[in-house]
Amino acid sequence: MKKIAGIIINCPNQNNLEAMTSHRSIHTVPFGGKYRLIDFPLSNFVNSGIRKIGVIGSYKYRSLTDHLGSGEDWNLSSKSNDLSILHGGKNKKIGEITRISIQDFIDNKAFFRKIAETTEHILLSNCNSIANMDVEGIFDFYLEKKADVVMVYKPNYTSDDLYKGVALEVERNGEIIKILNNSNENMDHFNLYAGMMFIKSTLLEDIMEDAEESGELDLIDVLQSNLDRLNVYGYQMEGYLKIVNSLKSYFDASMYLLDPEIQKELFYSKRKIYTKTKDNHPTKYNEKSKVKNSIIASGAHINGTVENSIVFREATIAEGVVIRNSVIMQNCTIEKNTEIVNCILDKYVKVTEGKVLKGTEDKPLLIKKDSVI
Amino acid sequence: MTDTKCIAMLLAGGQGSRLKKLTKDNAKPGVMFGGKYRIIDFSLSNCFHSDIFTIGVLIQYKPLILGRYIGNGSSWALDKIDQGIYILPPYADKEGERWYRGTAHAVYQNIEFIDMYDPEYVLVLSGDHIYKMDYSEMLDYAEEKDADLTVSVMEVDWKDASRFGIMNVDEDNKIIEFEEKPDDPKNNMASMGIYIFRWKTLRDALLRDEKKEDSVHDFGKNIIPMMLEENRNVYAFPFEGYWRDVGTIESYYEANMDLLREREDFDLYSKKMRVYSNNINSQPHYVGLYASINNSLICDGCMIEGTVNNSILSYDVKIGKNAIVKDSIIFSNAEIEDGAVVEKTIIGENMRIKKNKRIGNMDSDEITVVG
Repeated sequence: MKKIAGIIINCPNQNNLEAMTSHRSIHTVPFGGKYRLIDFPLSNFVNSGIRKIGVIGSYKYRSLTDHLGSGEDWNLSSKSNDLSILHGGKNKKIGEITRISIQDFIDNKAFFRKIAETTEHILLSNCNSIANMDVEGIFDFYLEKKADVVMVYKPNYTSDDLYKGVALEVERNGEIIKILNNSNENMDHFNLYAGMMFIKSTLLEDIMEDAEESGELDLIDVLQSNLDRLNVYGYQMEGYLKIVNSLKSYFDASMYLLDPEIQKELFYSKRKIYTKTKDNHPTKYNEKSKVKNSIIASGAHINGTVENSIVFREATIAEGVVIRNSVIMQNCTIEKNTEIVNCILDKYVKVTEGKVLKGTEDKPLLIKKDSVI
Repeated sequence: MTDTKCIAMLLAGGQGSRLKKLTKDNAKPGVMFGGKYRIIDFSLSNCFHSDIFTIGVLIQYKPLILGRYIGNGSSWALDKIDQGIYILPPYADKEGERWYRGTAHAVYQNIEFIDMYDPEYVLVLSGDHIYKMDYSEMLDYAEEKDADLTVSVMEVDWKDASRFGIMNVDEDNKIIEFEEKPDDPKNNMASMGIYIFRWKTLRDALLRDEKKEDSVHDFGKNIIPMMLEENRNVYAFPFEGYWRDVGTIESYYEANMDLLREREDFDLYSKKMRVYSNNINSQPHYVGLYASINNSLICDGCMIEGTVNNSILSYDVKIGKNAIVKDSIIFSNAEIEDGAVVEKTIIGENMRIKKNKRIGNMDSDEITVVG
């Protein structure tokens, strides 16, 4: 798959995970015990053999560069410049938030010029779509249809939260005849744009050039108004998809991981999900641990009760603790005799002895990074 | 070449036949330990934490798993420019094939390699010890004593002393006598098989030892006695802390179980001198609805539906419903099917214990090995 460059965009309109995205961009929101959201699109790229990858950051860069490093944990090589971290997140119009920002592409012209020497197709992906995608299948479809653009969609999506997504109207032959914003229309079942599209490099170049003159800076809008002129197809994906763009959707996506079928599809596939590795010891269960239906990452110490929860690397859970339906991120310390239900604890949270923290399933309680409760 | 004061030569070529099935297809330093580790991780991590960045790993017996595991050394942050881990197998030259015939002979065969760095000191390590040690303290000690050879020693139980090489020292810790496995030990300071040689002295000793027909070319049996005979400056460096030779099934099993006991003298869990290893990219482990896990170490990728007690599970292990694993060590990618019972057993990589089968016995003194 040498002719493809992969770009992960920064999802400017979906940076809404409250305190979880106050100090980091949505790319690096921790997920599933050891991952960050960006691991899913990045692994999807790598698993299909894409070796030219650009990640468009936002102004909150630190956790992104820290996480990606030189890319070696995703089998990317710094010698051949496989991975580039790009400028991004400069919004032109105040109040109006684009879905796929052409400005971000224009700001990285030098990168696009460079990849054009070796690639002909660009795969654009959101950073917050949780899926294990068969990119090669999508690419075959794109070639077969001789398409200018192929947008991947999940059919018959039911809006189980206040999802503001892009919906597609697709003809039987796969052609997209309408792109709509589902927050404006009232729809129960729709074809949800999965946050991944192939586009011809030359077409994207033209669009960038035009945009500089016209000021039309949302790629989704540009495609919508040019549907009659371009060959735009929809590729119907199979399998699991969850887009994380709100606290509720983050919480739901975390809990769905406890479903063995979803786990199997995401993690037990031949296409592995890679992440930054860490040197820590295997998780230590002590005498009083009682763990049921939970995902537990390495380096943790567990001596309490954990049910229906996700525990990240190097968390410490003391004796007499009860944790239910919660997400406990990396390096959290939960002291004795505390109770935590329907909560999301960001990294390095410390809950002191005897405290009770409770949210609800619909409104999980989020505790900000580094807090001491 | 880079200016290197001390390089390490790690002896990793022995068969380790007393580990039985565990070394059937793997050299002893490559055997899994403590779930995610392999035995060699401890020495290599010690090197990194001691600022020793050039390490020759001498391999011979079944080196494939070990060599692949070491890779370019990046797992231990030892992939530096002009420094790092170098795998040194036996080789052939115009005069013929040259298998390593003894520990000293293996180093002798690589004199050219060591000369490329021209170090002042050479640290000789074994690849089958479990411990955390800062070798730079030992190196400082060697310099302070102006020693030709410094041997790391530790106090062992008097009843065990006759199983070790025992060092008799004067009040300055200068070694005056070395007794290999004495029946009637004069003291209980045992050699840990960790040596720092002045390279010039060692080089000369190796060249002379090679010519001796009655020599078995072994550090303990030949080189050290020879240096003592010649009245070289040989010092004992007393080490305090946890150290285990895991050369037998029993000692290997006990050292693993020590991890579960959370001993104060060996803190695997602290961030101080963290033990590095090759990190496998597996998902976090999943604990099912009817699982029960106590006093155990569990690695990524495991899927546990049964009971795990007082045991160590490596990567990607599956424990079925109603299966019971007790006082056992399970290597990566093994599967214990529904209803099977495994007690006081070491299960090798990729093994499968069939439904409702019973392996091992809690009441037995013997440790069962399946591999």
